[in-house]
Parts: sequence; C-alpha cells; structure tokens
Amino acid sequence: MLRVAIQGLLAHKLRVLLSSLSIALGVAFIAGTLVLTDGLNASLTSGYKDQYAGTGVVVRAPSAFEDTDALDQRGPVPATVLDQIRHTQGVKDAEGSVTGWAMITDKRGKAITREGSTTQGTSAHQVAALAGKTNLASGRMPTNGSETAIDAATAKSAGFKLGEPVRIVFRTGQQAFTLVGTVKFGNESSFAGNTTAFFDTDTAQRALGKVGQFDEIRANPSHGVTPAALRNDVAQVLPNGVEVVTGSTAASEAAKTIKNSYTFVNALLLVFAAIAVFVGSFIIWNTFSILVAQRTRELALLRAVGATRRQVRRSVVIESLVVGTVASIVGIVGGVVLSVGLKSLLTAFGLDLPSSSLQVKPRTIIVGMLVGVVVTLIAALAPSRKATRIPPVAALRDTGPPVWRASRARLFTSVGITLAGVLVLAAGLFGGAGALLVGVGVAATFIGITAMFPLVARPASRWLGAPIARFGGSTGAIAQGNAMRNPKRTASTAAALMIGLSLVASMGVLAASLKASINKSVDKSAIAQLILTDPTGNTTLSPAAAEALRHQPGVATVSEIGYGSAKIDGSRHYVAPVDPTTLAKTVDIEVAKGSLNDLKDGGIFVYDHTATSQNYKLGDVLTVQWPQSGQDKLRVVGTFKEKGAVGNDYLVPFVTFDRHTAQRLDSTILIAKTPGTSVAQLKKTVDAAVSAYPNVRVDTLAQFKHHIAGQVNKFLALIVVLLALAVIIALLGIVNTLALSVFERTRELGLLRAVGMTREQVRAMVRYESVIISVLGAIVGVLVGIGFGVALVHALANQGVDVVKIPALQMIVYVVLAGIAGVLAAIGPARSAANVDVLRAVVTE
Amino acid sequence: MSLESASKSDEKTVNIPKARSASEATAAVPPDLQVLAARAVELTKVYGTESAEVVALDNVSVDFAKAQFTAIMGPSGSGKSTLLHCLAGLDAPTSGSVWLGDTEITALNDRDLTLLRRDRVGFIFQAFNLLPTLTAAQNITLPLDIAGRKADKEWAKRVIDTIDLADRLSHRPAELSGGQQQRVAAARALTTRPDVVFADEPTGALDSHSAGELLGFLRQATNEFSQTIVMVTHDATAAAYADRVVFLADGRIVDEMATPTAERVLDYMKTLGD
Repeated sequence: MLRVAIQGLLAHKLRVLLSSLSIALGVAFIAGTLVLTDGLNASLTSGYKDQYAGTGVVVRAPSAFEDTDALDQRGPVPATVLDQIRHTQGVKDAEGSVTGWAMITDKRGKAITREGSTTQGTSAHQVAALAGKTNLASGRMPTNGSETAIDAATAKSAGFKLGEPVRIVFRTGQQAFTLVGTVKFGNESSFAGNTTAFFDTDTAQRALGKVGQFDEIRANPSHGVTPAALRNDVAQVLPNGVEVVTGSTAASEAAKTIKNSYTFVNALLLVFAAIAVFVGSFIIWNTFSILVAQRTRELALLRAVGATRRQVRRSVVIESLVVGTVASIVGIVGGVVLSVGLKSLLTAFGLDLPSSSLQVKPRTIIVGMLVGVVVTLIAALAPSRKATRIPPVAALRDTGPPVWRASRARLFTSVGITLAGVLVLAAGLFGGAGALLVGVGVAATFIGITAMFPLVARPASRWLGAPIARFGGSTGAIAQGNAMRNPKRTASTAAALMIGLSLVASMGVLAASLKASINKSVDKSAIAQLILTDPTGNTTLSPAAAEALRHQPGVATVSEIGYGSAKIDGSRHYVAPVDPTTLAKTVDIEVAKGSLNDLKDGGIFVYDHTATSQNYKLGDVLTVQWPQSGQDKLRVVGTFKEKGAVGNDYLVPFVTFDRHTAQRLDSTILIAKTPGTSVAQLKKTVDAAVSAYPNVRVDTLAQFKHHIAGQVNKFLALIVVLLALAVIIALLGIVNTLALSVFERTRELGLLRAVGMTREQVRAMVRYESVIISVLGAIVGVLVGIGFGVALVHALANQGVDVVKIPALQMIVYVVLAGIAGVLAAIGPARSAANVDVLRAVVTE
Repeated sequence: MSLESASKSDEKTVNIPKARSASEATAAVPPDLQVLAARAVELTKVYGTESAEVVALDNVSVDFAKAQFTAIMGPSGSGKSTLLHCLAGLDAPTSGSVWLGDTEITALNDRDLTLLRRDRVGFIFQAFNLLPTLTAAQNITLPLDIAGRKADKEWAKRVIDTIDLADRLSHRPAELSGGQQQRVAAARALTTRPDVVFADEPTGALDSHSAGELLGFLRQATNEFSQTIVMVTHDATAAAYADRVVFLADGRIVDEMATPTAERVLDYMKTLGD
C-alpha cells in the first residue's frame, strides 16, 4: 500500500505540488515569525548582556515593578552613595551614571525619533571596564559641557559629521553641542533602535535634571572577589531606599522586560500565521476530497482486488503525510526567507525593529514540521474516511460524480456548530475570557459556516450566475450550471476565500468604527481649539513647553495630561495625571459621579465602566503602588464617561503624580483660546512658542482628527497586508480546485470542443466559473466579516469605541477585487481546459 | 460507388498547404467534386515512432454522396473509427486531405475547424454525448447556443416530434435512459441541419430495442430530410439500416456493399475475420 501511495503521488507531481503549496505558505509564515522574533530576542538579550558585561554589581533604587514601560521607573540615588561604595572593600572601580529623556534633532531641526524606541541621553562611562561593550565607532567621548557623542546609527541617518553642531532637546529646553564621537554597542550601531546622546557626567546630570544624583552606580570586584560576594558587601553600606544586584541579574531583568514588549509583536504575527495555516487546511481538505472523488475507480479497483478499508484509508493518510512533510520542509526554508520580508514590512509601517541575525532554533523547525504535518493529516481525515466508503463495484460502473443532496442532518449540525462558535466568540469578546476563546470561537464559526455553505451555494450560484448566463451566452449558462451542479465543491473552494475576506472586512469595519468613534469623541468633548501631542505617540511633551505657552497672547487655558502606570489594588493600570481646574476648561470628560473640584491630592477619578466592573463606589479607598516609590491610599472622588482625551481609566492630580515620579513628561497639552482670538492666530502663536521642542505637533481639531485617521489607516493597512497571505492561499486554492475540476471534466470539455465551442469560449467558460466562485466567497466573507467587525466594536465599547460604522464602499471594492482575482486564478486552468485533446476526450476506448 | 471509381479519383488529388481560410479552400476545388457531401483523398494516419509505428489508415480514398446513409464497418483495429475522426475534423491525418463539400477541412486552422464543426457537422458518439448540467432541450440546441443563433422553430419542432421525446425535454441526462440520451444526441446532431452527421458506434451501449429506435430515427432523417449520415459500427444489424456499407480492414478499404442486409453483411464480415 505504501508503494501504491508513493507511486500515485509521483504520477501526479503537479497535484502534490499545488496542494502542498498552501500548507507550505502557512508554515512559512509561522517559521518566519519565529525566526524573526527569536532573532530579536537574541539580539536584545545579548545587547543587554553586553551592556552589563564586566559589571560586577549594580546599585540603584528599587522599583515596584520590573518593566521599563516608562523611562523613569526608578527614582535616582544620591551621589554620596558612590563615595561610600568606592571605599567599600572588594570594590575595584565604581562609577555612577544618569539616563533620561533627550531628543536629538536633525539638521533641519526636526525630531529624530523611531517608533517603538526611545530617545535617551546618558552620561559617558569613564571607566572602560564598566562600560560593557559600548565602544567608540569614531572620535572620542565628550569631556565638557559643549560636547556630545551620539549613537552611530543616528549619526549616519542624519548625516552628522564629527565637529558639526547637534541640537538636543531636554525637558528644560534645547541646547547645541559639538559632535566629538559616534558610539557603537558591541557591533550594533544603536541600542535596540534607541537614539542615544552621550555627555560627560556633570553635563548629563545638569541637562537631565539630576544634579547630585545617579540613576545607576556600577562597580566591579577586585581580584578574587565574586560578584555575589561583592553584592553582599555593598549591601551593608547602602542607605535605605537603595538596592544592589549583580550585573548579570540586572542584565537579565532588563532583557526580560524588553522581551515582554516584543511578545506583543510576536503574538500578533503568530495570530496571522495561524490564520494562514487555518486557510491552508481548508485547501488541503478540499484538494483531498476532490482527489478521492476523482480516484473513485482506482480506489474501488483496489477494494475489488482485495484491499481492506483500512488499507485504502491508510494509502490516503500516507499521501497526506508525504504532502504535509514536503510542505513543512518547504515552508520552513521559505520561512527563513519570509522573515526577512516580515522585518522589512514591519519597518515600512513604522515598527522599527533592531537589526538581528537570523535565529533558526530547533524549536522553530519542530513547531513548523508539527503544524504542517498535523494540520495536513487532520484536513485529509474526512476525505480519507470517505475513500473507504467507495464500494468495490464502482470500479466496474462508470458513475459520474454523485449528485449532492442537501440533508437535514447537515443543516442542523452546521447551524449548531456555527451557533456554538458564535457563543464562544461572544464569551471571549464580552466575557473577558480572553483572546484564546475568541480565536477558537472564530475558527468554530468559520467551520460551521463552511458546513452550511453548500446549502446556500446552489441558489447563490444561480443567482450570481444569472447575469453571466444572460450576457455570456451559452458559455455563461454552462458556467453557471457547473458552479451550481456541485455545491459542495463550489462551497469548499469559496470557503477559503470567505475566511480571508471576512477577516479583512472585519478589520475594515473596526477601523472605520474606530475613526468614527474618535471623531465623535473629539467633536463632543473638545472645548480646547488646539491639541499638542508627540506624533510618534510617545509621552515626551515637556512641561516647560506647557509653561511657556501659558503666557502667550490669545491663550486662555493650557491643560496638561500626563501618562504613567501604577498597580491599583494589585493589578497594573495606566494612570493619567491631570490638572482638574484647567481640564474642565479644555475638555468635557462627562463627569458622572462626584466632581472635578474634589480631585485634590489623595483623590482619584475612575472611568465609569471600570468603576462598574470593579464595583468601586464614591468614597472607596484604592491602594495604589507607584513604580518609583511606595504606596498611596487614594479615595475615589468621582467617575467620568468620556475618556477619549485622557486616554486612561484612572485620573490623579499632578500634585499626587509628581510626588512619585522624578521627572514628568506629558502625553497631551490642550489649549483653549481667549474669545476674540481666531484659531489660526492661536496656532501661529503656539507654533512659534514651541519651536524649541520639535517633538511637539500642534493640531487644530480637524488636523488632529485627520492625523488619527491616518494612524488608524496605517494600522489597517498593516493588518490587511498580514492577512494578504491568507487571501493568497485562498486564491491558490481556487486555482487548484479549478485545475482539478477541469481535469475531471475532460470528457465534457472534449464534447464541447467537438460540437464547436472555440478555445476562447472554453477559456471564458472557466473564467466565468471562477468569477462566480470568487464573488460568492467574497460576498459571504464580507457579510460574515461585517458581523465579526460589529461584534468586535461592541466588545471594545468600554475602550471608547462606541460608533459602529460599516464602510460600504470598501466592502464593495473587496468584492470587486475578488472577482478580478477570480479571473486571474482562472488563467492556468482555462488554458488547460481549452487545450483538451478533443479526440481523446470523446473516444470511449 | 465501386472501388474502381474510388481509385480513379486518386488522380484528382490536390496538394494544398495547411492553415488557409475556409473560403480560400473552397475556391480551389474543381466544380464536379462539389456534389459530394464528404470526401477522403489518400488519407494516411500513422501513430508512434519508427520502431513502434502503427499504420491506422493506409492511403484511404472514399466518397460520400449527399442524402445517403453510409455505414463503415470492419473488425477491431481496422481503422474505421480513425477514418471517421479524420472525416469529421476531430483528428488530423498524417497525409492526404479531407473535404467537406467544397471545403478542404485538413487545410483549416483550429478556429475555423471548430466553427466548421459547429455549423456544418453533427456528432453522435457512443457515450458521453450530453452535458449533465443541461436539460435535454438545452443539449439539443447546444451548438446553436454556442454560435449565438436561434433555432429554426419549425425545424426544431419537426426534429423533436420525430425523436418522440417531447415530454422529456426538461429532464437532465441523468433522468433519461440510455436510449433516450442517444436520441437526444441525435436530435442535437440534426438541429443545425449539418452537411453530414458523423456517428461513432451510436448504438454500441444500447439494448436492441433502443438501438432499433435510434437507427430508425436516423433512417428517417435520411429519407425525409435528405440528411447525409456516416456511421461507424461493428453491428451488422445496424449496418443494414444504411444505403451503403464500406468495409475496412488493416487500414484499407477492402470492399463496398450497396443495399445491405444484416445477413449479407454478417457473411461478408466472417470472410474479413479470417
């Protein structure tokens, strides 16, 4: 049986190739993602190890949580600690450093920022042994207050040469420095994509507002002392509120944090890879079903000469195993290639990832092989079982493909699966039960709908094919008939496209709803006329900028909104510090309970959905733990309904926040004008006033809405591109099915050619069929996608997405594109249909 | 026609290069040949390469007059089906030429040949004659639909009445018996009023009653509608319906018989079999 199976495969190499291609693409996506993220992890981990290489111990202030969400998760350490450490026995060298927000501007004065990275200023290491692998690419380190060295990547991209001036922006203002050197980190020209400016220690402390303080003190042990022993010794001399860890501990902590933030990217990509694999499994199932149907005679013959049911099933299973294995191997190799493409793609959309070598871990190969083989096996399961039901007598009769009859059992089962899927999906979305349930629910819904599809495929094909039959003559009528006659085949072919397009459509609905919600929120709640933000979405607006604006003519109110995180009653949340007085004059947050007047030190405002779900009432006391320092007990003094402007669920006054955060940066500044000033005048004034802070973008309400729409569109485009692979697989599936069905209908095609259908007419016929199938899949996909999208929007209602918008034009474009894709998919099969040898087709012997 | 007249027409072989248009092909033919419905001139068909050559047709020349029902018979391997395929434009000979009326079909390109098959030739095969997705009525008008032409209503009604399937017209082939399917195929072949109807073992898969019905229908077509029919068969009873039987053996025409009967044909076939 093994030999029969293998020879069968070899005899139909093209068939094997086409069906394995779909799984190969899915596996390639998975492998590519894993290769990419493994590479990222490795380079980041080694980057941090390099940073702390040679450092025995690190002295710093403790943090309540270990993630570098904000630049300043830790408070500073007094500089006197450095002297104490230097005099501790066992310490060879010790050095303190400061790090903070500093933004390099390019030669035109624009901010140099990269999405996903930070802009940092830091003090240059004097002790080489404690500098880790930070080394000079050119020039030297700065030695006085007018010099700076910057990371080699930024120097290159901005075109800075040694000796040229570089303007750098701090919280407190801008300053120009002379570039005296460029810095590498190990062999990388930047550290994790960050821009870094180096200054001598005194200058750094001054510029970053940390005079007399250090963020970190490094020390290495004398000969014969282990880092652990040194740590214990140093711990003895440290004052309260200062801790010490070994260098390797500090490195792995930092690496873990960064890893966590890339976990999101990893998970996102894997989700899309899973979608691609899911669609690929449909193709396999479809292909094997067709192949089993086509080989009815052959398999019946095997049964007639004595092969058992199990042997027949085994031969199909072996075929699927071989296809799955070949596909997985091709997929893994392709994945390595794809990872390069993925990286470029993400970079093109602004998610700048640090350069890294390719990391092909054994885990990647195992996962790729497992997924490819297992998915193929499962997908071929149903067809293989069907193969066993072929009666031996079918070898003697030449029955055509069986007429498919709708069965009640199918109706109930498929509706049942679909409903179950929708329920699980709803539980995942609304019950907060998590992303996994959402995924399972979506998959089950797709399976259910695919099972229901054949029931609607026949009338739907007739309806869709009607215009084709009318205008395409008999060619069109025959094409319509072909699509109608085998609803199961039509449905399963269209199903894959349905899945891809429904996901695209749902994202389209989400994006449109997101934009509409944001617009509505801005229109409803904005009282201010100007909104100032950092275009990269980071929290980098300097309070000094806000202060400068307060005294400008035409400015009535300036309200700052910050951004930070804290552990509230044990779980991590984002907190926005605000100024309650000016806030009310620039934005309407729709206070539900309590009053902003009560938001003083010791109070906290809660978003009303959160308050409901957490059962907070006015007067409840929340335990809030800040990262840099200890705990606070804050009383709930009010709830609010409109969180678009503030962005977070919890509001505290600045006085509370500033006490726990060494250096605050704002995320948004709102400006209301005086009556009698025009918006245009105000903008001109403000633009001039913040010219020293090139990271600040000044928008009118209309401009702000426009920019946000642009961001959402960019995000949508990225998602659509990631889904494109799934759609491509689906289209390949259509090509595959068409090709197989052309092969199956050789006789009919021969007859048509014999009675006078020209080659061009035959090609047109195949094309029409393909268009009917594609458009059918697209329409159902769009409808399902709208359903998913609306559900998703409702689930995000408490994130402020409260408008449901269905972009009808976009949906129509998708359907039209699917039709065009159908025409393209038909090119190959149409040609082989037209080239059918008339004679061989109609002759009976 | 006798064998002698068949060989006399050998001298009138015309060598014309391939891939000319239908009208050019017509213009080059001498007028006295135009009374024939179809004609094969020195037809040779060879399969395979030098070492494994199979000569299916060996220099065959034969004429088919209009309004005649001709049967082509022979043992298996005689080349009768190959001859039919070449005559019908379904296959190309290795050498020689085929004429349909005044058109040299061996000189046509694929597109013109296809159009010729559509408009001027009718086919009935042994099986797989009908498209399973179309009704009987749609199958009958298939060549016309492909051409975008409407059927001549009176003619169509006549044909349908003759085949006696008026009540099954809206049924699909799967709902018709074998005999009924073949009659639908025959109706399709006749509906376009072709120059020639070529039938390849049309009764091969039928029981004797259905076969008789179909053959009677074909006979009626020749008698009443002056339809030229060329039929390949191995069945002596079927051959008896024809006006003339042409016998093939080993790729050559060996004999002809006018006004055949089943017994005479059978007797002759026995001699061929030796």
